[in-house]
Amino acid sequence: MTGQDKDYLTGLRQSNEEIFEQLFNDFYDPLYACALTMVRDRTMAEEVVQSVFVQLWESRKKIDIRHSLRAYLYRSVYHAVIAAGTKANRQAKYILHLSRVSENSPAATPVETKELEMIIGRTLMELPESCRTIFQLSRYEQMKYRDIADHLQISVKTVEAQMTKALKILRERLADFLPLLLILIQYHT
Amino acid sequence: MEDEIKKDSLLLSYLLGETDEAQCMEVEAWINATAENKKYFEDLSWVWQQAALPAGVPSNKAEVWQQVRSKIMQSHKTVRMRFFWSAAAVIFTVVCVTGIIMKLSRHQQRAEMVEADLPGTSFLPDGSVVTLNNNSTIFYPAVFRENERKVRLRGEGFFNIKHIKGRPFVIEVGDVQVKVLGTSFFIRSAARQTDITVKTGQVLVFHKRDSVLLDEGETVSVHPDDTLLLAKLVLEAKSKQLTELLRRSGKLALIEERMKTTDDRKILKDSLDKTLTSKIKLFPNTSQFRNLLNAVKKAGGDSIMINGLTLDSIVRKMMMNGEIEYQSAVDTSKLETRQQKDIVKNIIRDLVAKGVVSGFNEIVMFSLTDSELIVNNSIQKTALFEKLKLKYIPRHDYGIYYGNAEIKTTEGFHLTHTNL
Repeated sequence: MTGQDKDYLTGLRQSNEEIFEQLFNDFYDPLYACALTMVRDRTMAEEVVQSVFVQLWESRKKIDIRHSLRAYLYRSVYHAVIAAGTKANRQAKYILHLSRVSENSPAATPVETKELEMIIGRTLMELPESCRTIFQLSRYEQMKYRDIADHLQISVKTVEAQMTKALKILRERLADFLPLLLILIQYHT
Repeated sequence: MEDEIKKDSLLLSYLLGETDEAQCMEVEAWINATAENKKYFEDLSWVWQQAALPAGVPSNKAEVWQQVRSKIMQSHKTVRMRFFWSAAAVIFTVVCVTGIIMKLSRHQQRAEMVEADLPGTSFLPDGSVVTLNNNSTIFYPAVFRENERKVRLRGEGFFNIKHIKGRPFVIEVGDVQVKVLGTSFFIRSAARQTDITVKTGQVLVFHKRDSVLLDEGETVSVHPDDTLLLAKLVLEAKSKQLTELLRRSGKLALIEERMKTTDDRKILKDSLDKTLTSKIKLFPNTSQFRNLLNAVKKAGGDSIMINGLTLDSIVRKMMMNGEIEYQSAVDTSKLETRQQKDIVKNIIRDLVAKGVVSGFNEIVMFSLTDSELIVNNSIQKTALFEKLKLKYIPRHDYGIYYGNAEIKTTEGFHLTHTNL
């Protein structure tokens, strides 16, 4: 655990609101980016991150983070997305129902982009936990393999292997969209 | 298989800048070895790019922090109530003092935000009324500013705004702004779309750089992904006439201009004027217009009768008489002389700016067509020609000529020195 993580945790346990605000400012952007990739909806991503911070504050006294505050927060985002997802599914069904009833369904975004976004979001959600956390630290914190390894107290080799695994899974899931890219490239050249 | 993983791992490291120099060279050599390898790497980096956040997505960080804070404060409150009843007197005093200070410094006071998320009717500090739906929230200052009343909405709400001269009421919904000119209306914002329906009066809706004025009974839908407003017109009887017109002709902007017989023109123009001409002006560029058109088309509409004739038959008749033309862009062949002069002057200005000639009067002639640019009888460089062609030549077989030699133009126009 880094010194800063320790400072943050100590501050939290002492209910220090200033430290909490600092923590929020530090972590908000990458966490939001991560949430947004998963849910692809700004409002929902904001709500997810909001709930993560509120929950962090509420559980500040009993929180038990041994390795990395960062990793903990990314896991929290993941769980919050799942929680929001079940709610959103219900809402989506309801909206679909309404639009059928009223005939005036909202104009659809291009199907392919939408589908691609959904698949990326879902794939990230389905990555195994350690794989996902490492991926997130690399992707949203731009951390180097070495830093991630230090942060999570694992070996660089493990980080590398997990990253490769994440990429492999992503590529498999996105395979159907690749031909489109090929066409675009040919078109441009 | 082992090799495959090793390869991916190395390529990914390369993408992330984790490789040392020797590895970099190894990877680059591999990528450039065959077209297949190259494609493999391109696919891989594409996948990697896709898994990133869409670039430049803004977020209301400050707003989220306010929400986090207000939630934390709530949980604080319950704790305090339980354990520090004795502090109630102190708090009361503080509240009183704060209240007095607030009142005293009402004019320069920084607005404290109030958050309301209970379904039902709320009264805002200015006497306006808002009715929220479930899962909706409104943020507003405890005291509105002197020159503007600003609130923020999430979800759905019906507003009945008290008109106060010189203090416009502005509602922010995501990146959409609704400026109210004393009226009642309904806002609904879902994940991907914000609808605003005006019941009485007028509102101005802003989104990025676009704005649209809504009258009674009209609705506008704003999509966050679009850089423009997508107007979904309310299909009341009056708008239906237009719907039908748009559906039949596909192009509206011109019809207005090209109608010649006064009777028919009047009928059509009246129906247009009343409904959409004002709105068309608000959607000057074609992609916006296309979107508008699609929205209207999608909404549909049954045939309408005007003076016993259906719009359909009016349009068809006018088409047969050559009174309506179907063209998407403004027809430049029928430009007024003044406009032609402006175009020629602009071209000459461009030529001077590019250093083709040293001054305005140096130009003896030029000819700009869709295939070449000739200035003072010499053919100009392709790069310059392409640039000017893009700027001035609207279509194939079109030409702009300047000079005293007589040129017969079929498409385009010719100006002599004396013309200019």
